[in-house]
Amino acid sequence: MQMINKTKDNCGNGDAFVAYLYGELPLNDRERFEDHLLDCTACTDEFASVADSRYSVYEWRKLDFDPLETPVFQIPYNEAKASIGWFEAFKGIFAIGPRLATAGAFAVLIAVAGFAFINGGFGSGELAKIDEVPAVVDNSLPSEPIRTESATVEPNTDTPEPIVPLPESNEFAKTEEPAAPRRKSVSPKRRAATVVARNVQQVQAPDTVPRLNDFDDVTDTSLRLSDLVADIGSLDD
Amino acid sequence: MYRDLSDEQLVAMSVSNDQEAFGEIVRRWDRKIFALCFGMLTREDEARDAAQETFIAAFRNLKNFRGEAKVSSWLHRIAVNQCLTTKRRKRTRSEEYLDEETNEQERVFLAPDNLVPSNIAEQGERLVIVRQAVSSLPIDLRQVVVMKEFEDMTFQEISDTLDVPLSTVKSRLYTALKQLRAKLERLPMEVA
Repeated sequence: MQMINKTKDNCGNGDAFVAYLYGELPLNDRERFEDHLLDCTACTDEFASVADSRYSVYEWRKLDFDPLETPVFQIPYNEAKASIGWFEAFKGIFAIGPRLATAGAFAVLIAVAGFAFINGGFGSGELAKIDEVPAVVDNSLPSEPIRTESATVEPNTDTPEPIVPLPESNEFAKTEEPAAPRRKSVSPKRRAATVVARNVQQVQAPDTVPRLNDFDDVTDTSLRLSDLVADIGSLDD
Repeated sequence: MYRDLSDEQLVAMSVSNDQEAFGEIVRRWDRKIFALCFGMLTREDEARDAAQETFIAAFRNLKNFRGEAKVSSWLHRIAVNQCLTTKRRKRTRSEEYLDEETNEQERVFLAPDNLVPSNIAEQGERLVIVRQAVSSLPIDLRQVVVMKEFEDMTFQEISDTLDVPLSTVKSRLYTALKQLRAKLERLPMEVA
């Protein structure tokens, strides 16, 4: 920076003023400028004037545009604890949280269940009762099966002709059963009697209670397609 | 009473042990001396200390004021000396600077200006005037002021942004500050 001798004005150092003011003057030029200020009254006054203007703008920016400080909130907590009566203190012992109460109840439930299991409550007693149920059912059933494969349907006493035994309706034994015997010729009167007898037999349900495993004893008296075909064939005859 | 007197009259009264007269000088020039110190030291706390030291030195050297220069120039000279002393002390004893500050806790510090109630109203009024003065600047000058003072851009960055020479940026800012000074000098002394 070229320093000019003292004059009435600012020695032509306007650029140096602003550069020094904002700290952008090189170190050597800065020291020379400071030495010049000590010797030059005009430059000192001029620099003071520029510095005052700059501070006015700086102050405006600082007060109006700088971010606000984060306020600090101090909440005055009341540290003095209220006096608690003996009853409240006693209740406080049992005042457990809902989670703890649920866990305790669950633990008690598991303990009771385990105790019952160890004592055979579910292992022998209950299961033995379940085993006894079929026995009771068996007692109610007749000693002899109602109908076997070779057995014939009891014909109604009113019917003049004996009823042709129907095949078993058991689906499990259907594959092993032989096909229904094909009747060659049945008179319409006889066929009507057969149907009536069959309906009567359906109405007269067996007295015994059906069981899950008594399919061998149940007689299927429902109308079969083979019977109708047989009847049609007899009509053709 | 003291407000109507010139600076030279106040100095003359201060020499004759009129402390109120020197108080008026301090009140009248405190802000400008502080701005000068802030321009040289760039730290407000250091600038405040330097301004205080300036007035203490002036009070001690009242009898040496011969009246050949203006009182403002005399105060400026003292302030520049004080700032350079502070900078050299800080530069040579940078490590001891903080210790020195802690040892000077017994010194009496003045409250910041923005905490004095009487200055709050003046400060608000001054800010309004500064805002109006900046707004009234020509656009090319105002542009440089905003970019330098509010955007913290360097002269080189402003030069690159505006695509003008570096010296033009400096001269524009210098002109802008001078025009601001002219607008602010129209204000009453206590406000400006």
